[in-house]
Amino acid sequence: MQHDYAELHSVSNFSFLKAASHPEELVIQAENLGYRALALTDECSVAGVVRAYAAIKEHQLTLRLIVGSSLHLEEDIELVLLCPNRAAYAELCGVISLGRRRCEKGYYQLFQDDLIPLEAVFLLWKPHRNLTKNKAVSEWLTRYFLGRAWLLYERGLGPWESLHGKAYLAHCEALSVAMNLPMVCAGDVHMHVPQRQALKDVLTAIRLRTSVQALGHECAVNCEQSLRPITKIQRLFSTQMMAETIRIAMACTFELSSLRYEYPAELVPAHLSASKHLKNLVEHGAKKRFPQGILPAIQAIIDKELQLIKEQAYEYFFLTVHDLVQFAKAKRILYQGRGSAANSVVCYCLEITAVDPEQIDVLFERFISKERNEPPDIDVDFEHQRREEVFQYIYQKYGRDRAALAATVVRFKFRSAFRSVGKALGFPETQLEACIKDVDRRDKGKTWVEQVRAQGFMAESTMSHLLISLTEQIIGCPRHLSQHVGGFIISAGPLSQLVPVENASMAERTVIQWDKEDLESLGLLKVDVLALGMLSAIQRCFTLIARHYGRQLTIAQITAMGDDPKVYGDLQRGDSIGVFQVESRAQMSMLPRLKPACYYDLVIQIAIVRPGPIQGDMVHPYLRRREGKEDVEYPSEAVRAVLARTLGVPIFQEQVIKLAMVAAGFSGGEADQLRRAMASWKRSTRLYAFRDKLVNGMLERGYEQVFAERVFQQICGFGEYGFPESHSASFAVLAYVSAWLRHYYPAAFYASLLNSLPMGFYSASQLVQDAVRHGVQVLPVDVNQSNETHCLQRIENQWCLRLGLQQVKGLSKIGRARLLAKRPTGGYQAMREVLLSGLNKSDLAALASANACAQMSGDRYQARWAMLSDLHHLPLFAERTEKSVLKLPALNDYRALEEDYQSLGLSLAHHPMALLRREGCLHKDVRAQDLCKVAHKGLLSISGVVTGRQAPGTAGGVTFLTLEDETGNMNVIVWQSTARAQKTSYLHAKVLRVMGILEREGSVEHVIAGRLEDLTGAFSGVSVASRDFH
Amino acid sequence: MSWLAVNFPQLQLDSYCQASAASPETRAIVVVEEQRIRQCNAQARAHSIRPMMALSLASALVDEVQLLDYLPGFEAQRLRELARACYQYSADIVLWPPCGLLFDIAPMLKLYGSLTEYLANIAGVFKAQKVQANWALASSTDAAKIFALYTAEQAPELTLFSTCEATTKQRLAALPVTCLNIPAQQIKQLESLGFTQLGELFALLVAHTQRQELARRLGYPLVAYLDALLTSKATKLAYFVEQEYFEQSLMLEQETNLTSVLMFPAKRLLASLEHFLTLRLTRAQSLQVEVLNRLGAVARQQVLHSTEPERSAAHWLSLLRLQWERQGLSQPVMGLRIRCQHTLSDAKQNADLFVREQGRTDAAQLLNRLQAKLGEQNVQRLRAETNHQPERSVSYQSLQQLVQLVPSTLADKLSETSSRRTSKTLPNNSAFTALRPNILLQQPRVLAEAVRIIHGPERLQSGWWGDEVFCRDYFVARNQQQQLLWVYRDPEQTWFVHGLFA
Repeated sequence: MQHDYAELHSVSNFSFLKAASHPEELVIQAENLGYRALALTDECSVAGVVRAYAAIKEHQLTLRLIVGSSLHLEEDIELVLLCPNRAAYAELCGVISLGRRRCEKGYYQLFQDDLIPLEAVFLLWKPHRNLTKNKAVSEWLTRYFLGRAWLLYERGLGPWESLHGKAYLAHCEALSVAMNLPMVCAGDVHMHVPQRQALKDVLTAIRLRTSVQALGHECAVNCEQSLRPITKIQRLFSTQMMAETIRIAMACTFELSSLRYEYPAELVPAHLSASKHLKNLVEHGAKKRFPQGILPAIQAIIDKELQLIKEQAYEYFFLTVHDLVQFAKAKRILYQGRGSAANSVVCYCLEITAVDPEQIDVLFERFISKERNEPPDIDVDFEHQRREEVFQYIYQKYGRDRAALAATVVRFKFRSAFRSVGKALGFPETQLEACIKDVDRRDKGKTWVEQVRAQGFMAESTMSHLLISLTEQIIGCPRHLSQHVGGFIISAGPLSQLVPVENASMAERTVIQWDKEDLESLGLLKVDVLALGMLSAIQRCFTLIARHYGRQLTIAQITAMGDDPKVYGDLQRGDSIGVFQVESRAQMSMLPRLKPACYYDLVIQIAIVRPGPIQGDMVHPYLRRREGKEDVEYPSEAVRAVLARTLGVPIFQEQVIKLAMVAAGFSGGEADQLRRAMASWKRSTRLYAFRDKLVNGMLERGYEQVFAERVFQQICGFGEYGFPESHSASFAVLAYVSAWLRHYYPAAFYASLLNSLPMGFYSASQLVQDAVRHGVQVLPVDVNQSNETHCLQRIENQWCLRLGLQQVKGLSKIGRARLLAKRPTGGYQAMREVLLSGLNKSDLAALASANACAQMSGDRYQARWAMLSDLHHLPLFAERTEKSVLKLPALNDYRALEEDYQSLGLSLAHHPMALLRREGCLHKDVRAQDLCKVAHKGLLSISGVVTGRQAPGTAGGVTFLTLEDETGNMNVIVWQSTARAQKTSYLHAKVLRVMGILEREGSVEHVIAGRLEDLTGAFSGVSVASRDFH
Repeated sequence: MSWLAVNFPQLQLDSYCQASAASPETRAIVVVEEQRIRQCNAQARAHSIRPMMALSLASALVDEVQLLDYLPGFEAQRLRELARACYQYSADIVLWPPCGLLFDIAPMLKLYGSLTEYLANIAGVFKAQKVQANWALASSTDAAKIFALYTAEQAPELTLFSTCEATTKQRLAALPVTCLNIPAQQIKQLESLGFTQLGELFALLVAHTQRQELARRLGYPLVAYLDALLTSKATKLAYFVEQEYFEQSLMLEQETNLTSVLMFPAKRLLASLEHFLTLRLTRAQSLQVEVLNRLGAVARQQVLHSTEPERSAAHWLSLLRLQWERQGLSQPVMGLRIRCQHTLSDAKQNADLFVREQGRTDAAQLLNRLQAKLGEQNVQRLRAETNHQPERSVSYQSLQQLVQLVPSTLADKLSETSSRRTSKTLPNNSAFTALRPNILLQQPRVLAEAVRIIHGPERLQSGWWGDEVFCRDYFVARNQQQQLLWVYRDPEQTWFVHGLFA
């Protein structure tokens, strides 16, 4: 039942730290109270309107949503702006952008003059409490906004109102009559129900960086700033004012769904239509991609795609992305499209993706479908170190006002929420930190609430109850906007007419006020420009190979050579450090089991080692069937067509969708909704909605109940963690290429990886050790031999890896440049020359620490001693070669190792464990390379440097440790009880001895830890950073 | 020269344990500074917690640990108390902040005769104070400090060491370079040159050329410091000095329990107090007055406050008289002691020689007399609080509290945030623009008569974070007697009277 009232002034939690309710909550509550309309007017922002709009659509509410924004001008004037139509909306976005672009992130500044050009917006003005100010403002309003301006009257029932309320109302009424400004009422709503008062006060306390007890008058005086029942509103305001709200609401007919986006038109040549241009490009590309001719099946798909693109008017989107990748090609920036775009043959022809649709089963509906009625999603990875060039190209081509990044909403998560609420409630920081530290958010058995209570954190006091309940409320509230990783919006006209643009915290970057989800809800297109480290590494490798081996290679060439058994041989042995996607500990233990032998095996390998398939119990059946230990059966031909290539086990998301389509009769679009339900965080509820349809659909088509239930269980099991096949296929290309390069050109490959750090799973130290194990000679940093980056050098007919100056910690960029610039052709001959090259003290110290002057000065101590002398600056002494009379202590191996790690992060001399072994500290410990000699289930002890600690959330409290010694890596499994009992060793040992039992499955070996002994003391000073709890 | 250095590794922690001496310590207690452990007790050590460990690591090692914040001011005060206590036994004490003391032994040995007895006395002080102490002897202060921090011994064993230069040098030579009291960067530099032990450095100081090389590379101050370690040159040090304060007592010839009799010695003591203060151009704001019994022990102790700093004996005498008139004497007394510890220097006052104020007491003096007559706690001031709840919007404060500086309030914070470009906040509801009655009842009472509402409502709802949750709708009402009442209604629809408009 709808009443005659519309709320015209409400603020959601997207007015950061000011209001206490989500936009969704506001609209739902407004509907419950029978409002006819609600204006969401966040402060100088429209960040929340899309969510309100989506909520209304989803719950099919009859409430009308009005878009607006509240502003506080610099002249101390309070206004609420509302949008009656599209033109007004564009004006509002323009004004918001203007105010925001003037200031740093999070602030805005607007003046009266900024509003004068606005011709379509409605203005609601709240007269000031200092009555003398109001005459001038009302005159200004009538001069510029006659017919579109109202006097806003609100009642908060606070102390000020009880004293001055009558006088204020009389003043407003007189003003309204005198200046012909109709009066309208509103609620100044900051929360959807009065019960949110506590949260509102806490947010205020967080914003003012104090506690609620110290807020004084800043905390809410009552709960009147909430959505009020109609009966109360009728008592508070006159009928005329309430009627005015309806009049205004009815005049506001702007709907967000009318936002349509015009693409930049400059991509299409003048004489052609967008459709024709796209078709030409696709045909041209198809000839290049399929030189042997196009199969009829493929041609049919191309036609179907182009038809759909034309119907949905997505041509410009593809043209925009095509333009981007052409730029990258021209600049020789490696790129690869992935995600659902890899399902499109058109994308393959446009050279956006690199996955041959003949190789994988393409599911076009995954990419676009009529039922989806949503724009396609194209992600393009670029070399991570050159992605900025792509950004700059976009900004240059389209201009800063037509291109901007999408935002990400940073919300309160458990830690920040608990800490902020705790401080606001007055708890001491040390206590809060101690409590947070002990909560394991990945513990599936206990929620954080239970864990906090279990700590006996506080006795049953009001404050502790409040802390927990308010933390629960605040989790998920937005804190601020941040820039999205790489999602760009590009439009034909100024972007600020579509959505407000504000400054990001990075210089020269602008962000729109909506995030990815908002853009999807509204059907606006975004291009994801992402970065991938491996692309940089591959590009570098190609450059090195061209330079040193004289061979020009491309990704396409390597894949065209077919499956190389030698390369797959490496992978089958689990020898994959540095190979894209299959180098992690988990992948390395899977490789010897799965034994990939062809491209498609790699595609499966990448997709299968993920929590989804593991939890969905897909892995073991697949392995068994692959090894021939189990028979493969298909209940029907349709199912066989879908699952044959994965031996009857659904591993990819697309297979699930296809199954739903062929076995349960889902249409393409419905199946895609299923996929989205699987991927969303509300999947548990949404997914169950599909259960009946799926199971019944299958039963109707003659499948057995058991089979249907099992499929559904598998869907639930791997839901959000399942990999799309196209994604996996794109990655498999890169995985194969990196493995190939690693096999045939190891020196170049490792050099490229090292030059592309940070990326991947391993540290420089581990990569270098792996290189050495593969027969690459690694040469140390040297002032005379090294370049800035790691490079190859020819020593005795072999290409070796020379470490570059960039590896030296503490050597500045300028220092490196200077050292290289001043280096004589024959190299520096004496320390004195190095000292005279103009490097500053810290750079010299860094060089000495890295032992880069070893050829000239002996050991590090001597080098430093020489560097500290200042005699070389004095001309009289310049000729004298100073021989120091001092006898400095000698450098022992331990110190040398320590300095190596501190200065370079790696050591080419001894491994720490080798030193300990030499000293006899590790008598019975088995080395990594000798593990194969120990029997299965045999007792043993091993020791090594801890280089990795992982506790995957899905592993039930088990931690995987990686120990490294001079011969390789070893995997240790630590059960939770073992970890708890031996906390000290487990948590902070850098060098660990483990006594336990060896388990062997095939060629995969693990040690189950029994007793842990901390050996760090035996070797103090090793600062190998362990990759902890990734 | 002989120096004794004593370091108190757990000064703050020991003071706490002292306070709760009743129960034996079973819990792990640590003192924390900026998320690092600074001090830990024996139980904590048993769980492998060590100083300088990160708090997060420590809390992972033991389930229950009590955290105390580090209070440097408190430690400084304790240190002074310890120095004061040791002053009885040793004359030349130097404070070594944050938690150590240095004693110049040479002069004292002449008085004590033997080192053992001297050490025993000092040890007794620490034992009485229940603080842990690490001892060290050396020929120079710097060396003694290093020994106390790194190679501390027990008190009796100290006597085995001689304080001659040679021994000091020998002991120092074996220590690592990390012991030196020089900037961390310089220590790193020494280590990076391969020096691990002090002996290696000392070896370089012998020959002149080597000394020069060392000084040229590492700086002359370092060489000077190393020299200071070895030799026992007299250095300029600030010895601990007790603060000067006034304390005098007088005994009567006979016991009395009449305050009027006590006025005579009071007069004399206050006169010498005035003399003491005049000589130093200072004034006093509070005095400790102790009446002593026959045995010289304190029978009662009182504190006299003056609103304005005063040195006039007559002024203090009148205050004292008023206080004694009020309190009287409960037992026979025989002596009086007056102590004045805190004095304030004179503010410049341009006194007109010819203005005589006859019979006029100014406000400050009136307050003094009221306080003396009624008792300090009963003379209070009103202060406005920023609290929405009416009964808490005003608070009472004793006069003494007003003397303290008002800490930065939220208003200051707000004004500094609005000077930046913030999103503007709406004007807040200040209590001064609220409709409030002249008379506010201490406790609201239930409304028991018929009234007519003439103004309202004003809704006040807050206090959700404490026990004082309130939710009230206030109205102004007129009753049968035509009085204007301030009434409110609570959620249960019960009406209360909270105040009256005059």
